[in-house]
Amino acid sequence: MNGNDEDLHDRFAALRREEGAQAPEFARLFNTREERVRRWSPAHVAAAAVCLAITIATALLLVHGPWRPQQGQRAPVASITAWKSPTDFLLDTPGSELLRPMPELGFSRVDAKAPAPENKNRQAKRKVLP
Amino acid sequence: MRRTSEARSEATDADLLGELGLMHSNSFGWALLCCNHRRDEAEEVLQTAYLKLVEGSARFSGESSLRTWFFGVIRRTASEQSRRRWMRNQIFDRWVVNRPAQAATPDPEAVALETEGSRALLQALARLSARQREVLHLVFYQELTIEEASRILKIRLGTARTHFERGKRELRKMLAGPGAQHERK
Repeated sequence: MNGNDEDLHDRFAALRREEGAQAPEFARLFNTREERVRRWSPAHVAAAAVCLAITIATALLLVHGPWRPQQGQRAPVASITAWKSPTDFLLDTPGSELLRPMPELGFSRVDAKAPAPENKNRQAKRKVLP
Repeated sequence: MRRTSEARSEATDADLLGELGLMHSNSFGWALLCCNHRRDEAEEVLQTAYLKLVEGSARFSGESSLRTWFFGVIRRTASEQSRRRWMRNQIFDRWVVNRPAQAATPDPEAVALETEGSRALLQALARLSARQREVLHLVFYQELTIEEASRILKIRLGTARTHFERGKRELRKMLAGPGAQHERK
């Protein structure tokens, strides 16, 4: 700021005096700040009421909604002892029946399960054909 | 020990309160400028700035002068409130109440109290860019240095100087009279 700016300086000083006279009291602004925090504006009240209404409506729908099964229509709950895993069949591997009985000396279950002679002939024929 | 620190804190708060009280009228002037001379908004902004200070969401670290720091708080608060008001106008008035968004106009009460000279100055200031207006206000109205103004506005000193010089030139042209304004156009 230099000497040539005096005109602007004076104009701003006049404005400052006018606005200073209109300024609200410091104590009024400073002391009402707590009231302002506590005070709820109509928009806040409306928003809170809408939130509360939505919460109550959701809770009522969940409790008494049309999709909720009635007391008598409830599906029976399976007992823990009767429950079976849906992947239980995966444990039943091919040939596992051979391992179930107690092994005996001088007896082979593999021989007992050998294919019938009819099947052997069919395999022999296949070999001849090509 | 604890009592000593509490007593010191109370003393500091009292000092701070005293200083804020002394610069209250200038703070209000700055808040008015940040709110485009809408008195209600300026009061609300200043009150919120005081609240931030009391609650501790804005803390004075002593890196700059209290006035520089507090003017920065006021400016930031005004910008936040302006954004919030715009959102409320856009959403609430337009979609909920179905009322067209209100255009920001100066407070008629404040306009009635202004003298002819002040009104001309405010009208000329309103035509300047926001940055030029802010720098000129801080330097001429608040009697701060350009460096302090640059710190409040968070711009470089060189940029602040440019805004100051250009703003001053423009303002002088506009205040010289309507003839000068026509020439400019």
